[in-house]
Amino acid sequence: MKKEQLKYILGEISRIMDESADYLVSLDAKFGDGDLGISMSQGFKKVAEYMETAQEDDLGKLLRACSSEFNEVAPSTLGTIMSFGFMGMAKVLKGKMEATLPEMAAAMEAGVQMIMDKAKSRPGDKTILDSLIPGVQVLKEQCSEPDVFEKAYQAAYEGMELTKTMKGKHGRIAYYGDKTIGEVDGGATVGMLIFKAVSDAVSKLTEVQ
Amino acid sequence: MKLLNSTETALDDMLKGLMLAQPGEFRRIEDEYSYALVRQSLRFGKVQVMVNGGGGWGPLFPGVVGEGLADAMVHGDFNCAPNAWLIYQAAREIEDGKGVFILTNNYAGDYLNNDMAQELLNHENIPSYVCYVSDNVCSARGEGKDKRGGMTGIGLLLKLASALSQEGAELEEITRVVEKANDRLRTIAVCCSEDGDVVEYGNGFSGEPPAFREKYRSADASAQRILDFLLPELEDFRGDSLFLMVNRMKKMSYLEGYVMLNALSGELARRGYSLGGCAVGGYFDAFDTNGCIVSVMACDQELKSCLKPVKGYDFTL
Repeated sequence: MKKEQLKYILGEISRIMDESADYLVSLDAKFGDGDLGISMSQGFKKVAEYMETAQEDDLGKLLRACSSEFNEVAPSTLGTIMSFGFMGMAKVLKGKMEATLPEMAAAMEAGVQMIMDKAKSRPGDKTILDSLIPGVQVLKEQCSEPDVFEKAYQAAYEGMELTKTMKGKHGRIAYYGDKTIGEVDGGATVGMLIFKAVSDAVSKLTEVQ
Repeated sequence: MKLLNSTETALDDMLKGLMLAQPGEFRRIEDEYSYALVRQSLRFGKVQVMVNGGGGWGPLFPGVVGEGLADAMVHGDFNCAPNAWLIYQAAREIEDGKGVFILTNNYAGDYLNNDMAQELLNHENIPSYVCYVSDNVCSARGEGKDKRGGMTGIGLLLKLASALSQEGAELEEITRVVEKANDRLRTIAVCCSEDGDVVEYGNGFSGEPPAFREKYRSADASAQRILDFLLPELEDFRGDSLFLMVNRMKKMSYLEGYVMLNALSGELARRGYSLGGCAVGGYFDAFDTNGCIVSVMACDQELKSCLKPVKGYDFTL
């Protein structure tokens, strides 16, 4: 993957977040303050715009800039978590103009690790991690499979579905305790949408080739 | 109805007004998405004190920049944390070799943005410490104090940090004293419900449900209930005097604020506590209702000596 593909994928994520903004707002309004959809669509839009004009080719530097661009417009909890995710990826890809799939998977794993360290949350806490981790796991372990991105999306989707059985522990949602069981987590939905966008973007990129 | 042009421009319009009202006092650091004010007449050669958090209707946070309180403040959009970049930028602008002491309420967004700002400051070897204020006794029920959110007690800690910094205390010393105070600080929100004479205890800033509701009886009865929530965790400091702070909500009158202070003070005396100081004001306007937010802080001699009244603002703290 080079800058051009990264730009295309981030553009696709931005598009899907924009389309899903109302749905994400409705999810977040139940236990949060309802700004989840807006911050995700604004954050990824800013990142996509930055990628359109960026002169840089170093993937690490690009992702580092994405981290601060995202944070500037979307300093909400999940927005900042996303910025830390970009920052974690940036550290692994520093100095690389091109990355193989295993390298990308390792970068995403580092991004997820940074989120865990900074947000002090673990899988099973009903957060974005519950869809990101299974998705990244598939990318890492099955990267030679032809439909790895579709599979990663499926895994992220299943992870998101599982959050219905979990109890919220972080942020405002924790106030509601057991009442959160049965509801899907907004953050995990965002994680699923990222993998959906990546999968869509990759299949479109492959068609072009 | 509110007398605003739009909620989108309100925070920016307010800061412009604030700067007109006190010419030459502040400068802003421009950012499209968050808001920062820095004191013009900074005193150098000391630890600088900064406060940050969500944007809102009251003096906390835009109205606390000046003598005896903050050297700079940063806030985000309404009820949103400011971005890390602006926190970092403001810290950099005020810093003068002795580091920056930063206060913010312990919410996830504030935590994450301050943590990221600290990463940026560390890169430039600028010493900083972030105190995450966790005074709300009704948040994170059943978990440790460090998991709780912050409320209005941040105003008292800001006053402490500022007094210490003016006396020339080092960053480590300010950290020690202010964290000690944070440990001895408890706060609860009390909201008067619109429907019927119901009073609610322990509401959160963003519509989190109260811990307890009851039919309203009297200011004295509510004062008892409030102290039943706040005092049990301060048992360890029973010998200390208590600083009491009553924060009026948007729809609470001046009169009711002092009635509540008097009621609380009477109840404290009945329970054998001595009052070490008090403050009443509309510092933090997070709830669009009648009611108040009450903080108590157990003060040993060291804390007491730093809690002189701060005047010259829209309030006395």
